[in-house]
Amino acid sequence: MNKTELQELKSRLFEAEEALRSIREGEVDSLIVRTPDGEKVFTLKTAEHSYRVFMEAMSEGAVAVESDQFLISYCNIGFAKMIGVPIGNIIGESIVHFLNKNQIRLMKDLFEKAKKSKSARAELIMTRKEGDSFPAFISINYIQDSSGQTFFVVVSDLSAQKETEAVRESENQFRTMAESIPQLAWIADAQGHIFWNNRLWFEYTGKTLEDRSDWGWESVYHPDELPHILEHWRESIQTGKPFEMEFRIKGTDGRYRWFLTRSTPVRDSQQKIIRWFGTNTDIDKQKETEKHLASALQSRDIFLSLASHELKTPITSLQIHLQLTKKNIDIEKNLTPTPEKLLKTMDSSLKQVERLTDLVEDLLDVSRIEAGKLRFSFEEFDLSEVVEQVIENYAHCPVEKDIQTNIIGTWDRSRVEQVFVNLLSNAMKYAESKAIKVTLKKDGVHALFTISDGGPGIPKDMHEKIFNRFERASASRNIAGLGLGLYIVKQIVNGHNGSISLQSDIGKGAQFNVALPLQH
Amino acid sequence: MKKKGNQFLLKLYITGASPQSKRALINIKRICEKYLKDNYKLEVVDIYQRPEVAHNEQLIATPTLIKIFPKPLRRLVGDLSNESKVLFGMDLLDKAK
Repeated sequence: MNKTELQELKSRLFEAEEALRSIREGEVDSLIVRTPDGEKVFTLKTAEHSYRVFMEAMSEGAVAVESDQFLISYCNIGFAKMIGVPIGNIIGESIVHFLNKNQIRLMKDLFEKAKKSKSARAELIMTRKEGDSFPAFISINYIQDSSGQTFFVVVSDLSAQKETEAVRESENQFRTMAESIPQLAWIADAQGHIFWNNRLWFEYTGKTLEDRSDWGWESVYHPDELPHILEHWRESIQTGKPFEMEFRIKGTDGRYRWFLTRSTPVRDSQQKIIRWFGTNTDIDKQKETEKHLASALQSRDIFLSLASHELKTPITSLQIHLQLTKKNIDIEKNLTPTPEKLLKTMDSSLKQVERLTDLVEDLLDVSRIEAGKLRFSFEEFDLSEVVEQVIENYAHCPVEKDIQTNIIGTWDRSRVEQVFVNLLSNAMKYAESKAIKVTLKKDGVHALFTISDGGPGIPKDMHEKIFNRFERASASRNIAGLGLGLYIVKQIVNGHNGSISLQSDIGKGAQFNVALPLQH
Repeated sequence: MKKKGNQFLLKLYITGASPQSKRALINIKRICEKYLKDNYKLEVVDIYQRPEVAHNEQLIATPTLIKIFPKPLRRLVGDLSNESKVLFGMDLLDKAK
């Protein structure tokens, strides 16, 4: 035997001795025994401890289920916590007690599968003590040994994960939808902090992500409404009530537009609010229309009460005249009013009828204008004659005239006359016995007419309005008229391609300037 | 000149994190770092995770340390707490001088 062989033998002996010594002195955790079924590892008792620590510390449920009746022979604390049942009430029970009824078949199939292929895994619905269900991931390993057939089951509670998935899913859906709608849209967290806005929102406000302040972008809201918005929003956050409010949002152009803002909470399966989805819908045009409509309705109401009052006055006095006359007629006694008295009554009555006719004529004109049926018949004549005539026929107070003669042009005679009559009677209404001044001249292509009174004047903010329907400069009751006159005047002047303007202020009287082109 | 790593290949067979296995792992790691630094590769095999190796390597207990390379093959059962025995059993005595 040479030296090397000797050395080798020594080594082998050493190995064998060491192995025996280690086993005897407890330096090993397991013994590996050759059996007809292959090597088997027998773990020594002390080696189990660290695994128990693992098993009890993990949040997953670990359950040993015996093939016989599916009895639970072991479960860790994690499983007990997961289903909310004390460990003492779990061990010795069948696992089917902790499954949804309709899941028992599935679980048994899963056990069968594990038996065949050593392991199986699937998602199942499990039941908690309180009766509510939760999605769980089940992983089963099957082991058969001398002590029996056992399934080692690891259960993971998927509800938190599913919740997160569901939230992300709904958020994604909202985002996709929010990018395709014509509204501004956003998402806020449970505390009300807006953390996402759609593309349109950024485009409209011109803001960037860097502009984000504590509560979204406060600077885009109208300062008048901001306190109410914040108050209202905080209330919704606290109570979970859907948010709905109209307020103005500033655009990139610096203009505030009205938006209808709506937001509804998104809740998780425990009904806890996790998100707020919100939209801002542009209602600026609607708001504008509403405002116009409201003011139009108001004007119409004022006009109707005015018109009925105006129509009532001549009718009442007509009625009185007729009643008086009738009273003075007695057929039996053959009594009649004297012809003088009758004539006087007739004259007064006719005046009232004329007044009624004028009012009705005005109303008809307005409805013609509204219907676009105001027609003109043009002819050539001398305007100065018409003005002189109007003053002669209608003025019953002093008129200062400066009328250039021989102003020939083409107009609608009766309509132009109507303009002068209207302006003159207007001036007379307001002049309060001071002189009215009328001028007429021409500037080459236009006939220029002015009429001024020394009346109370018209405040600047009314200058535009008085040419509108149903508007009067004075709210005073003792001034008669429907307030249609200037509207009709303006429509006639417009029909002649002319213009009418007003120079006036409070206490300074009023002067109307009319320019009519000489040729149509 | 130092030879590039992996000249020694050692395998430690254990059964998870059980006490003697952990002890053996800590011990052999210390010895390797001390005598074979940058010149060895230690593979740790959990026979629960790879049951077939128990048969292939003809193991009788865990932990077991096997020197695969350089030849000849050497094996040592136990917690490897006796450094001189490990050095002797793994033919590393010359390294310890």
